[in-house]
Amino acid sequence: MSDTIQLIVVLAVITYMSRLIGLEIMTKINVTPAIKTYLQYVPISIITALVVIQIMTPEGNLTYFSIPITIAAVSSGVTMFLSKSLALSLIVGMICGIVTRMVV
Amino acid sequence: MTANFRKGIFLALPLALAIATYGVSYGVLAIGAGMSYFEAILMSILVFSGSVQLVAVAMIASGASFINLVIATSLLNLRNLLYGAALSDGFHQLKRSTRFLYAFGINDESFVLSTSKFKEIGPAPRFFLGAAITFYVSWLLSSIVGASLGNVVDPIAYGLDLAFPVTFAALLVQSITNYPAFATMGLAALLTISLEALFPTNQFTIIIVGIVAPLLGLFLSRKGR
Repeated sequence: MSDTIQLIVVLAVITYMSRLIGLEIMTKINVTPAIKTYLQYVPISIITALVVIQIMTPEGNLTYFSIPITIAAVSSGVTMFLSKSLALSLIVGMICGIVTRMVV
Repeated sequence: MTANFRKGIFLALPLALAIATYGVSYGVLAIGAGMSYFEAILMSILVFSGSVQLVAVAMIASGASFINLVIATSLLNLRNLLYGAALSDGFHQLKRSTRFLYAFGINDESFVLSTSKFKEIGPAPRFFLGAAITFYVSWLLSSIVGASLGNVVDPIAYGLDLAFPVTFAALLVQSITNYPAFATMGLAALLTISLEALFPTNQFTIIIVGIVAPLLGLFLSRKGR
């Protein structure tokens, strides 16, 4: 089995187990509202970290912001906010990023 | 086919369309991250989770280690515990083995759609099944389309390094629905910048941010109550 396939199987097991444990066991455990609220904000935090890491480009000991990637991400985010359309946001973000890259 | 099963399929269709756009993005990004066509589709067949799969391919592309991928996806999966707990009331009339099968269909979309329906008409596991199958088919087909697309276009020529941040920025904006969420995003960004500036390309930024930043969201939503 390749490393990637091993990883896929492990992720599949973790994901399925989280679903099954929720269904079979969590009903017997009292989940406080605080835990529920905390977990609501986990995906936002992880996705933010991913976007920021993708924008930051390490070079030697220094890290700086990539201008084309920043503009691509911001324009996609703004389009999503205004239009609520993922497809449109991806197209606008990609075009803005590619154009900026050609100019800068 | 029971009436509830058909209703589940029908009401899931608009969301299935939204899921399909993520599926296509996932497929393209998976190939861009260096996965084979077979691996990209296998992941959709076995995992069936948009957030886990998108985060996983982004982390694979950035060269994250196995253990960090496992921790980050486990964090993302914690919310499934709550979804399962909320749905279990609607499922308890099912046989255990059937419930084990239904568990696979639990995700953000099937949870939201089914719990709102259960409130309206009472427990209707067939409704959940119809919706979950619709989402699964949509996820698989769109992943196949995305992976095929990813195989055809030259990632570098089309700026695939842009495709990741563009997709995630849109995803992020969609999940910012209130002030605590906005503040959580701000803190997460600040933490990520600090950690990456102090320890460039370290492996733990995503996990630390994923654990610490939600505390602000929790604090602010409790205060606002």
